[in-house]
Amino acid sequence: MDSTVSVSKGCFAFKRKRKGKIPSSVHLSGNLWYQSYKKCMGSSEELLEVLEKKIFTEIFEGLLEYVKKCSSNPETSHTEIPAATLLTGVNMPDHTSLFATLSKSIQQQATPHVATLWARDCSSLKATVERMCSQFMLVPTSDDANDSQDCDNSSNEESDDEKQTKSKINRWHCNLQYLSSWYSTIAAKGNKKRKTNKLSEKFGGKAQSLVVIIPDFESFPAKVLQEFILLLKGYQYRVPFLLVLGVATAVSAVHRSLPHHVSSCLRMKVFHSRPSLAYLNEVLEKVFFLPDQPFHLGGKAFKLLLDVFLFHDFSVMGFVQGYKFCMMQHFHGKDWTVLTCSPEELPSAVKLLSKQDIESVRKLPSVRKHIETLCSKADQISWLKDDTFVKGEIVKLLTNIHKYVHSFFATLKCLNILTCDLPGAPLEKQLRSVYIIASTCDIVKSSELKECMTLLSFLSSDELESKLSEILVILHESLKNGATQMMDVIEKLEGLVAKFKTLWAPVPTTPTKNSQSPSRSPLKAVRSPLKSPSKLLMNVNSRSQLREKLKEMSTHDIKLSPFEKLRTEVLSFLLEEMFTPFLASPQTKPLHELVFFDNIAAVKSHIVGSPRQAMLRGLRDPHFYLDCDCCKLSDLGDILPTLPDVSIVYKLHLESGKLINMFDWLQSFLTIVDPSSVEEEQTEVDPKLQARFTRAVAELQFLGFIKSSNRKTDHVTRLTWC
Amino acid sequence: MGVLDSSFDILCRNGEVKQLVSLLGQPEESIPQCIFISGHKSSGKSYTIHKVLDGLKVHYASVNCVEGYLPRLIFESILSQIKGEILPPTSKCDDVMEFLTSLKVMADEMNLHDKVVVIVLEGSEKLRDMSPNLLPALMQLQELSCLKKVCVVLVSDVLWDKYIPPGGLPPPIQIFFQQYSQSDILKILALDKPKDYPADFYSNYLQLFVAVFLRSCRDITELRYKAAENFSKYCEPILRGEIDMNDSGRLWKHISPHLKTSLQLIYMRFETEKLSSDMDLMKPMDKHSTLSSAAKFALSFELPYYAKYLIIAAFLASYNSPKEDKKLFVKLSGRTKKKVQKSTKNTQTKISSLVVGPRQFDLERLLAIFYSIIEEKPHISVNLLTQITSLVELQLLLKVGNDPLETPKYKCAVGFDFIVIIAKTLSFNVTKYLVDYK
Repeated sequence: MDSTVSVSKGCFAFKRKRKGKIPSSVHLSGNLWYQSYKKCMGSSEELLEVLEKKIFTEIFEGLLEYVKKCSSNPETSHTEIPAATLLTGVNMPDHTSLFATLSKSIQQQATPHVATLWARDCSSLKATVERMCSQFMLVPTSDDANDSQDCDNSSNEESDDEKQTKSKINRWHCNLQYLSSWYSTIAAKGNKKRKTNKLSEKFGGKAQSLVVIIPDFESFPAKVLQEFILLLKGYQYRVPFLLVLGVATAVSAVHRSLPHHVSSCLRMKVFHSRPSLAYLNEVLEKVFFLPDQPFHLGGKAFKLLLDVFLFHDFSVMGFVQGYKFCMMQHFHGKDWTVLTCSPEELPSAVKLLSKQDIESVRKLPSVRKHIETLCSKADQISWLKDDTFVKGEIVKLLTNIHKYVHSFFATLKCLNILTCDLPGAPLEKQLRSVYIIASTCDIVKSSELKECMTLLSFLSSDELESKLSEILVILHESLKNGATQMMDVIEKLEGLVAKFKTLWAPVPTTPTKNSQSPSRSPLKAVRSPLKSPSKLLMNVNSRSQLREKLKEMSTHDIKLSPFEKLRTEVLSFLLEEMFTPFLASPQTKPLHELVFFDNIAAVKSHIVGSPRQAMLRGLRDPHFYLDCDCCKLSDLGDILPTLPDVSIVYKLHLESGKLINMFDWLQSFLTIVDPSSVEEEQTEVDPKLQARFTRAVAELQFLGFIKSSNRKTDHVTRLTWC
Repeated sequence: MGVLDSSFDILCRNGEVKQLVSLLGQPEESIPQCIFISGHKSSGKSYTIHKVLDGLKVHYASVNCVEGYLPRLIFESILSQIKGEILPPTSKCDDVMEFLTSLKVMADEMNLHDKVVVIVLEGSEKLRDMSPNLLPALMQLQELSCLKKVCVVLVSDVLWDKYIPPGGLPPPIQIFFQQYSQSDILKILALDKPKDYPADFYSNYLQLFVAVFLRSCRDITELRYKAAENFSKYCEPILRGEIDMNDSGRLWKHISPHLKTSLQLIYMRFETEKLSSDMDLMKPMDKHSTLSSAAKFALSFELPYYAKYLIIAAFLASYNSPKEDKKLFVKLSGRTKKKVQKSTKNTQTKISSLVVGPRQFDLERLLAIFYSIIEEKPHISVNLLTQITSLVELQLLLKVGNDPLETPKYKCAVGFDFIVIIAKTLSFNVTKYLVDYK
């Protein structure tokens, strides 16, 4: 502790010395796993950023155009405030980044004056105006200072001037009168500058609008917003404002919360953002379902994240965060996860493994299973004993897995194309749901796929052909990406598609034949097996007759048209040579733990936080949180006197019925906390203990486990049963 | 001073102008302390007073009281307007006393003792909610500041009766602005006549326009806006050469559907360029034209799965009394069934709770109902609980009270139509759980 120079006694506050903060990455960078984690995270973050940028620019295009237009001729809007209304969808957690990007891009492209007002900061009109004004008056001055540094024409005095005004601004001046005078000086300066430099011409040269972004319109107090708009309108002829309203629900929400005389102050223009489901699909396609990523989410983990998305919040941000967390969990503290890398880096990564790491690889369940299935004893022994052999095997197995992943995703996409528009969608419409099925169970043997196959056998030739050509496109693409095993499949499939063409060639040359035998025509043949039985059954009179007829029909072999033959051929080819080999569940592959993360038990409590469970766990097993020796329980039912009072009281209350007698409760509390006192049969209870008990009961009541009862005196009602 | 009324260029407000001029136009005579101008929204109150004061060439300051979230802003604005320049940032004027002193100082400096100074306070109903002595002080400014020619003009769309606090106030001179009559409106709208068209033609159009709009709107600014917006449509067939300019019958046929849709969008100002896509917006609405606006609102956005159930649960909690919960949500036994029938008989005499409006309910009850109407049982997670907060943020639920320690209480903010649509998407039968639904 530092000493003071003061002679007198007293308390002195010492500011903690700022230690040069060491970023966490320095601590971690020594670890093997951290490097591969960083690489993996970096690559997916890069992809996400690119995608996010693309999607945001799509959304903002129209809006920015509008802002630019309004901003370049602010004189046109004296009577109304132009209000660009952006419908954002109900995925609230994503909005922060959306509007941050929007504000940045408006600043870059349209006008430097942008203020963002979040509802949480604006509980009153005063706070709202202050926040807005301070944002306007602080930010652009620094921007101007940069400008003046950029262009040599403007003098240094000016920037000094501005710095002075910047420091002068305090809350006292954050009102609209001051803002309007500030704006007029800025505008005058802008006009002066226009003559001298080209830079400000980028912004249209003239004075620009002040853009106020209100990202969460609904949560704004309606009254504040009304007055705020009226206020802005009053100044509109001096300071051209422009509002950007982020509305999560629908345009009518604006009219619901604003009365007529306020809503007629706004000139609204509506912009739509993309629904978050479409956004998620794009994220999945462009970032997560990429075969060349070394890290993938397994079916269960993916389902967990998807459930949170679909059922709870529609937040893409939350999904991405969950994905990142899974990745962290996958890598954290396990050096053998170095192996989670691209196939090219595998040989070098294997060399880094230590003896311990190899031991933990051996312990992986999938590896054990693999060793058990090995035929030769010698192999098994060398798996268990020989480290260099294991290293070689690991490389082999992992390259296999990477190849498998490529073909797996390609085949999955093909399957999805085939089945997505079947009636009733037995195999789900979306790729994401098909992925869940395929990666958790054996999809080839599932009843859903069988159902799909029967439905597919009713397809018309046009549909089938177009689907096949789509599939070929995907396969070619995957071939380019390195799914070499697909070579065979593509060749055969192309042969089959070619057959379709030859199938149709003779038909137009023999039109007469066609009309004579309609059942030959492939198109009609689709229906013919369905239609013909009903015709046959038309003139049946008795039951026995019907049975005979039916028997006859079953033996009667319905002649297949060439198209039908080809169709069954194609379908069986797809099933046997494509789906069966390539769609095996990832869990069947040895070492799948390194590529597919499926340990949801580890991440679930973090991704789906459940306060109630945490509380119960804390009460039942305080050691879990306190981590002290005194609270270690061998059995969860045990009650030790060293446990915290609430925990003791909670455990005692579990033993009772609906109503709990306070006196009995206290007695049992005393027996546990102070066994000696009870033996003595004291009538007087130690007031300290009683106070402890009372406090514990009150805490339990606050937590919602009990409540006071009116039925019986000195009793409380128990509220939970688990 | 013989100022003629006509020199003010104010239509249809002759009486009021005369009154104002007689009150303020004689600087040699005494000036009233306070004038109270009331009248409906956009009936020309501010316009008239400003024009009159401009015409009389008196010193005046005009402040909109919306700004007055801090009284100092009103005071400073008044002072700076009288002075004609922005006050130096050092001068503070926090309360009425400081305002009075600085007003006196300023009067001495600018020699205002014998000149008429008018302070116009627009939207003065806001003053009532501010500090209790502000309004009385402003109304007796002449007395307090010892400036004999100061007059405060309060402009408001609230009647004077609503101003009087329990302690009473000296009654000001009141001027009431009548609503414009139809002929007044026609006269005023005719001022906006575009140059390229003859006056007859435009007044014809206005006749049609006003006939449609007058019933639902007398707001002159809105009418002017709508008239200009629809006039371009009115002229479209003429510009295309399809209809002759004098063929008013066919022009009427052409414009009347436009006027009707435009009437639906009154006060909602959408960008005019966007009109084509506005029509697209209207199309799906036409499809559900039988639906109420709440139902349209429900159709226009998608909620997450559990959020839908939560909002339904909130609705049920709001519109059923807690007594009925057991009957509705616990599996029925024979005995309780009889009770249900009885109670329905009773409720027929009462007012249906659907009409009364939402009751408040606490979080526990909401969750209990939520768990009894949903088939799968998701465990209470943070994600689920945040859904409630985001429903509050979306204004679909309302939070009642703001005690952070108490269990939060809510009210459902959406109506039956909305819930029916939401329930339809889940194929869930809400009416089964509503006691008062017939």
